[in-house]
Amino acid sequence: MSNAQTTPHQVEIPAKTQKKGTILLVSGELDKAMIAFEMAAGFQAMGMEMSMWFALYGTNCLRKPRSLFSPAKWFGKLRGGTGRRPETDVALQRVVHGLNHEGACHLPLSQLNFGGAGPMILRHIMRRKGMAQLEDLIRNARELGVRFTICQVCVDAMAFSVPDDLIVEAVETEVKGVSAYYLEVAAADYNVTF
Amino acid sequence: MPADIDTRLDVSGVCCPVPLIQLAKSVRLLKPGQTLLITGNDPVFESAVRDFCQANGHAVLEVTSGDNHSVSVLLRVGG
Repeated sequence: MSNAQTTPHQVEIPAKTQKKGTILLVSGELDKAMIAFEMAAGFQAMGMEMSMWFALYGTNCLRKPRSLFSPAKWFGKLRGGTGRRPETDVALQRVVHGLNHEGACHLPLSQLNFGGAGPMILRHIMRRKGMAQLEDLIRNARELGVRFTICQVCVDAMAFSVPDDLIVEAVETEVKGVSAYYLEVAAADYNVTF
Repeated sequence: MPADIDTRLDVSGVCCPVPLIQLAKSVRLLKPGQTLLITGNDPVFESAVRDFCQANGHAVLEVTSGDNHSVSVLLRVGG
């Protein structure tokens, strides 16, 4: 190059400011949830202040695991909690509640699910490769200080009792609306939805 | 609560984000300095109105809680 500089290249270190990021998890599928938590934990480890938001089936990652054949899931009382309005509950919510995959260990795959065998195969591969499982990622993200927030409308519609139904890592999860999400997104440098 | 409120808006019975949308529509019709009283019973209604005011430069003047989880917020439209 003709205009090559003789002085060594100076790396400019930008002023240290706290970068912020948000991740919105809507899908309740193992692959998408895993990538979302990987990015949240990884970005937090890199020094970005991460905040995770959960809507619809994404909330299943934070629920206590419960089998699809659990009688309490189908016949138990729909409980109240933060952000819930039990007086507006309808009977069909019980069907949604029953068919929902509760818990990070029960999530299906979005592709190659093979009726539930797909997640087992993927988890086996990941175990052999030493990759972190979704449950570990959730725990790691929480330990690093990622904040969790759940959408109030989804909590109400899916009969999700906060904080009774939450796993122990997520008991500090807040229930907020779209206005709070806007304030975080507007102040953040990195926003992504899964 | 002052009597000279320019607009009253009742969003009881609807949930997030419909109160915000109705609120934004009403505030657009008001001039800076005018007041609006909005009533709703959504679980996150009060924080939604407070966030809306914070994001758009309006002032929350008064918040009163009624029965059946209803909350009324009086706000002044900012310039």
